[in-house]
Amino acid sequence: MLSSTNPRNWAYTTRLNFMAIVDVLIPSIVRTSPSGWTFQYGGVDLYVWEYLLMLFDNLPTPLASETSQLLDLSAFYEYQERYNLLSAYSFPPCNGLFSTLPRKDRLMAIDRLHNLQVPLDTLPVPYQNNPVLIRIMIDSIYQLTYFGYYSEWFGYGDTRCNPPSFRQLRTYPISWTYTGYPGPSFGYRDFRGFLLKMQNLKSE
Amino acid sequence: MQKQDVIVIGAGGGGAVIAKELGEQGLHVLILEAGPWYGNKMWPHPNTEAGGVSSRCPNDLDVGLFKENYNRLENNMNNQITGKLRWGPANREHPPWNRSYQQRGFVWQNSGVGGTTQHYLANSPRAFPASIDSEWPLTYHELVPYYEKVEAELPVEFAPTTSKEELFYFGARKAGWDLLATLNVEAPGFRPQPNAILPPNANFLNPAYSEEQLSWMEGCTLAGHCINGCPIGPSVDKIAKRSTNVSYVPLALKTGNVEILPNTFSYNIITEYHPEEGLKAIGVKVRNTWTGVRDELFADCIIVAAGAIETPRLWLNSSLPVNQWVGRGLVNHQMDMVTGIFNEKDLLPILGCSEVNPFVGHTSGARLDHPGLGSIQTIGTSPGLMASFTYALGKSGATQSEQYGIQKGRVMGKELIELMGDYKSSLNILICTDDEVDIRNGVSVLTETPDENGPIPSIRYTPTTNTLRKKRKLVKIAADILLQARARKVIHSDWPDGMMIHIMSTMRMGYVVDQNCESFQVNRLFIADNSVLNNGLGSANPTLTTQAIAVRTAEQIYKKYF
Repeated sequence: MLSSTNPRNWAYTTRLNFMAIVDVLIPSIVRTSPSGWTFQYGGVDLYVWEYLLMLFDNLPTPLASETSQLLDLSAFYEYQERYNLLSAYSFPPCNGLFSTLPRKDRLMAIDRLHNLQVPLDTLPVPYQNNPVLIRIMIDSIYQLTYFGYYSEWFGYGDTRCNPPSFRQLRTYPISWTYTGYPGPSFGYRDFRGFLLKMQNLKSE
Repeated sequence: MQKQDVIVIGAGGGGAVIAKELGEQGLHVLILEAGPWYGNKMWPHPNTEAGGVSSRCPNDLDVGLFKENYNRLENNMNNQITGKLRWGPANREHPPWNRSYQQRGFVWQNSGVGGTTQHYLANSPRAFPASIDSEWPLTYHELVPYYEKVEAELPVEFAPTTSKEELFYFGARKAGWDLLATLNVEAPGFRPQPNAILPPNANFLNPAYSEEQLSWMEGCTLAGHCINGCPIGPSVDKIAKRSTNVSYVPLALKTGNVEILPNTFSYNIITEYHPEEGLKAIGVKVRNTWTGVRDELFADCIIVAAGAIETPRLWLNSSLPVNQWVGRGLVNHQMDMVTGIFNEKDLLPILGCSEVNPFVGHTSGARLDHPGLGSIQTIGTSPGLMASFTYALGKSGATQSEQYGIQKGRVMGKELIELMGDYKSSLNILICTDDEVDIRNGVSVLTETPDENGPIPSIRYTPTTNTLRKKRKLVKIAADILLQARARKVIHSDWPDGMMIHIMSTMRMGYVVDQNCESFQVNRLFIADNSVLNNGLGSANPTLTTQAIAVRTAEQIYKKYF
């Protein structure tokens, strides 16, 4: 794993859960290409979980810790169903439980939340009895994970945890190599003329 | 501060236009803008320091500061929570302003001088004539002179062709569609996007100039940063993509009669009862977003141009008279995305090169219009936006559609990595449906959850059956064009219904305001944003029509009250 230089004060288990969800969406993989085998860093290696945590705590109501609890509860119901445990209410799920699930089961736990297959009254506030918010947050996890991973965020290096105005692009972001994006440009000369000009329509 | 003739709330697509028009008539205009002002010497560090109070001088505009802020990095610019172009106060130590949603999705808007035009694609099609003539209190014919004036002022030109437009035109022709050489669309066909982007200058292909040198000259450099906030140009008023902060705002300042207060949230319209005029608007209560200091400002006319969510919120939070259409009838063009992935060997004979390169050229340079159904348009963004809008937003996991032979829904893991590995060989098509007005859709306020500016907006939207039927047909048309262009794979993103990007019709003309955009119930209160649009324009991007109507409204205000 690449080194983190500016860790924040999220609970260790909250971090584990966010790492676990990012790992499902964008895992590290070995790919084959015409030139041979290549390794691709996943979202955990590029600290996208940290990006999610920072953004969730920048919302009008901070949600990083509550979202982690939401994932734990879903994981709990996943375990309960699998091992036929007696009651969801008999003991609380332990923090970080979601991160203990294998990848495939983590995905099922996310789907379970998305499909609202958890007792909504057991969830932490503000998710409690709020199905729309649950679905919006699941959508946001996907959207922000992809946006963080494929944008320049990791390239901010040791400034990436700073407030936005105090970040600088330190390195060429690794994910740009995975898409072939050359980065911001002053221009491209791929000009192939005009199919239509306004002056052609003056007689309209 | 001198006494104002007019106060305009909001410096976005509509507010900047009406301020410039009224300023040219000699009226003293004060614009109140809730967000920051990028590229103005009075606010050298707009996201970290409070800066000055107001600006009214064109010499305050500074292209160096502008380029420093619009730095073309997509997370820096477009992150909806902390990016420069977000919906929230200038101070990035504070979160975005809150909204409550009654369905999956989100509203994508910017605060700041220029409003959401800061990241809009500058697409400037006129409404479909049939969509105006069938329902509006104005005729299309009456709107044409105002369209022409705005088109000349911005100016609007057809987009140049780069690889992705070439590929779209190839597919559209093969699919049997004709070129539509018109601004007044009455039949289906494809065409280059009419948009408010300056054409490349005469030296664009001259190798004696580097790309960096060209970026300081007048004209688009096809750099592909429309959606990230365009910084290309020699001065603020000559920036290539004509967001209103670089088009109408400098023109407004040049009149010498327009003053702009950024960082100023308007949270209440002040009214009084006049024995002859009846209820009339006389002022605005505001809050400085840095200091929290509140103030009251007064003028002869109040123009609200705060956007299709905040304008009804402001009405409702000001306890103005009850009108069953206030906040109602929201349309958002029920958008979706269809994406083609191409093989390099198939692209070569069509394009003369083996890549589409979606990051090159205008973010949206080509479209197909289909009156009665809606429009589709090419979209080419930087990779973070591409991944998040194309592959993250499906309503459910990926499935294979038997009906059209295309894949539908969200992708992840290895499949996402492989699809983004084909980023340079991908072409996105955005679906904009001719969305029907339904009174059940719209904006209300949640009195139990106020923020510092009052009860927050609550947004409810469910598309009608007819809207969804039209969307399905447009998805099929888009997929067919991609397949005709020899796409190896086609993916339909299947966006949730509440993706609100073209938000309009929440204060409808003929229902909340008259044909001059004056409130039926509060005299001297005008509206000049997307909310007055009577319907979804048949699917055309709303900005140009809002701007044309703002020009007309300025005429009417001057005639009636000054």
